[in-house]
Amino acid sequence: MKNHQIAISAMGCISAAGRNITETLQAFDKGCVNVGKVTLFETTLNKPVFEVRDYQPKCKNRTLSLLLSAVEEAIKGYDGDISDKNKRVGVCFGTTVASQLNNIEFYKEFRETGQADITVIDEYLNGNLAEVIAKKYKLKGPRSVVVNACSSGVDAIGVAVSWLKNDICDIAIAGGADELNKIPLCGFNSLGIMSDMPCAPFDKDRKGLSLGEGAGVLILEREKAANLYVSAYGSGSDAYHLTAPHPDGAGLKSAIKEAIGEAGIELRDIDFINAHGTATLDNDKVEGKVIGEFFGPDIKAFSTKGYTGHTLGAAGAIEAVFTALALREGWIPKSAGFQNEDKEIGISPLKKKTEVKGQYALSTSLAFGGNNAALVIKKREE
Amino acid sequence: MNIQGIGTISTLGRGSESFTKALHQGPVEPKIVEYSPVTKKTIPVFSVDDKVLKDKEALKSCRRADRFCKMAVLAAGDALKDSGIEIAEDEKIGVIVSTAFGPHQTTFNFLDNILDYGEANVSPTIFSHSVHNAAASYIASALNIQGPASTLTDFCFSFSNALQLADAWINQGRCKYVLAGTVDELSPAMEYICDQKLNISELVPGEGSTFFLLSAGKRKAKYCDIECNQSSKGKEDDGKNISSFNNCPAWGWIASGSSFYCASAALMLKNKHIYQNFIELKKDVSAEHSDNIKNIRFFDKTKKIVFNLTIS
Amino acid sequence: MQESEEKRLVEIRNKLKVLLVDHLSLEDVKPEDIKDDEILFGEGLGLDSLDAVEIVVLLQRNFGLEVKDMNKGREIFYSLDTLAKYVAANTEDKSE
Repeated sequence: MKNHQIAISAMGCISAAGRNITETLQAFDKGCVNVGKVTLFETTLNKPVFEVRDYQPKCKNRTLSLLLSAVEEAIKGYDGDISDKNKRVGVCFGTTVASQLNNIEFYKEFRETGQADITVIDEYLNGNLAEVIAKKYKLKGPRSVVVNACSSGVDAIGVAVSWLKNDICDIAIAGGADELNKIPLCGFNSLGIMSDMPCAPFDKDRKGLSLGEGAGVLILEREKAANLYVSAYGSGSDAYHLTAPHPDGAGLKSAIKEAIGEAGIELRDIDFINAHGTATLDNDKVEGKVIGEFFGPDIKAFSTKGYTGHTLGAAGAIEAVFTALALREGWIPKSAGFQNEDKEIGISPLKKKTEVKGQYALSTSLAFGGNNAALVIKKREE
Repeated sequence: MNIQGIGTISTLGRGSESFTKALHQGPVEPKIVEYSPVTKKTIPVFSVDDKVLKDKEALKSCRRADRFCKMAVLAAGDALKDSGIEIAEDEKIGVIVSTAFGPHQTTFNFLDNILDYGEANVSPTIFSHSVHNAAASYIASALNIQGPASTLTDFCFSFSNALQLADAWINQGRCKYVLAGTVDELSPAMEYICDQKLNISELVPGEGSTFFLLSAGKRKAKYCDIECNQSSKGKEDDGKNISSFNNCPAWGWIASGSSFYCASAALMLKNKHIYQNFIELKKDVSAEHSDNIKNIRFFDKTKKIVFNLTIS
Repeated sequence: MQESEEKRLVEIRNKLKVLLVDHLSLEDVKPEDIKDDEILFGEGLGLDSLDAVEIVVLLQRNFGLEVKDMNKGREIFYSLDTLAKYVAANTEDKSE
């Protein structure tokens, strides 16, 4: 099979760091962090979160609304006609919240009375992210929703890359979206991995993750001249534990190896790494060790979770957008939240905005269930 | 893509043998269950007997697994075993789990926790099992599979999604084999939803899991070749066609159930026998031993996807 | 006095054994199979990190105890005995 180049034709993103790419870059440039209490719903859990503020949702389903915002930004920046009838346009998105039958009011009513407002279910059945976007833009191509927990967003991009390489579609809109929701807030709290302070990825004193919300979207095309490309995607399973990463990072290692091999490059060609860096004790230790082992302790690495929080199913897609932006802009932001080096971790993220000149960058994701993924993004040779 | 192994678990029992036997025997009676102690309302269902989910050996690394995960692990493990293929260490297997609704019983259990004990007092074990990809995680650890794994969800299109991605992974050389299948479960809340949304006289809700071990087309098939396409590409009628799904097959209505139709079609080709009662038959195809049957093609319920199974 | 304390420890141990078996899906283990000084993690009862956070919830729900610092948790959760002693030391004896 010919190793097609997959061009990134357009991008869009929304998170606590900014409601679009321009705002996001401004926040990264200044090192601005937008973190605060939960305002979207009533909760007794007093944890800092990264909500998208000053945002007028486009529809009742907030996850879908966030996705629509990112898709609209990407389509606005796209120089072709996304609804071109002669093109097969695939849609693939990752999520966690939008896929679940998790409406508390509905369930409470059912539990108490044996019946409940069935329109909630209609909304759920009409809320499949890929279906909604395909219908809205009258797209005739494959569609999928990837539900791989915290690597869903990057895995959705991986599915789109597979479709394009196999000529299943000509163009793909791929990414991920998740809203800040009560269920994961309670869940991550019960796992004891949520921090009382804004998350501090890779820091010696990190106390866990902070949740966020958002969406990230790429428009991908095969064999098209572009400034940025998805060079390769790789993934691997730990086959180890439902919630804990493999202590040696087995799945992450095979994901990185697959991606580097598929890209046809060497480890040393990677100029910088946008790490998953959730700021939990285990994730950062395992991820940092693998990165340090593969790329050496001096690799330029950073985590953007300090700006966005952990956006779950959106994270991998948002970070793919951030990685592509860093290549395009020629700089990476300071790792917000990071202050003190942890000797147990093999890497030390950058404390200030740093210039980057290389051609290749890597974005990594680790998820519940032992899913691991790696994405190589490439800048056109100058 | 060739089917090398089948594993299935449903109201008809576990394994392709009990599935075939049930197809021979024809329709079974559904169980009547009460989905709410308040309204005492009942609904007929084709549910999986908990006894069928007991297998210490196959589930030894699945102590905490819920029904959803257990069904998937057993079906996936059986598909691998059924193939008889010894996977060498350097050969990658991928796992693709597709599900219409995910482990909703576990999600509801988690909501019970929030309602009963408060937000700060919920079970982390239940939460971690409420993610859709918990089943894929258990499959990977139970079968020690370190290749790529993905979980897809798209209601009735879940299985065709999975087949399409499996085909892409194999063609691309990402893995030599893919374990691809579906899993969906029943729960009281889902039974209420089905009671509201489905025409129960025609569609009795079911649950279960079916997995296939798939290989590239060039490897000799234990069962048959399988492909799925958008319906525009498929020819609708060539005499041997089977037109569409029956309204209520022996395993019940399962949103992701096209995998079950594919499993029965593969078994029909392998056994050279057309089974009644699960697919609407064309009049010229009779339910008897047939050496001539080489191809089965049928639409899914939405009439948008055509599945095409061929034996060479 | 000492006798009643020991009696109370026995009660707590028994209650914990039942809770662990019920809530950690310990297949084929009966409460009475668990030794009083059973090591909980690794080689002992074979529990893992997910069980550890589940025990935190069990202590909260059943004894009103909050274990926030998991480093301290490691000592408390070492064996059934250390766990029972922690519960005894941090809850009131209702029999008195």
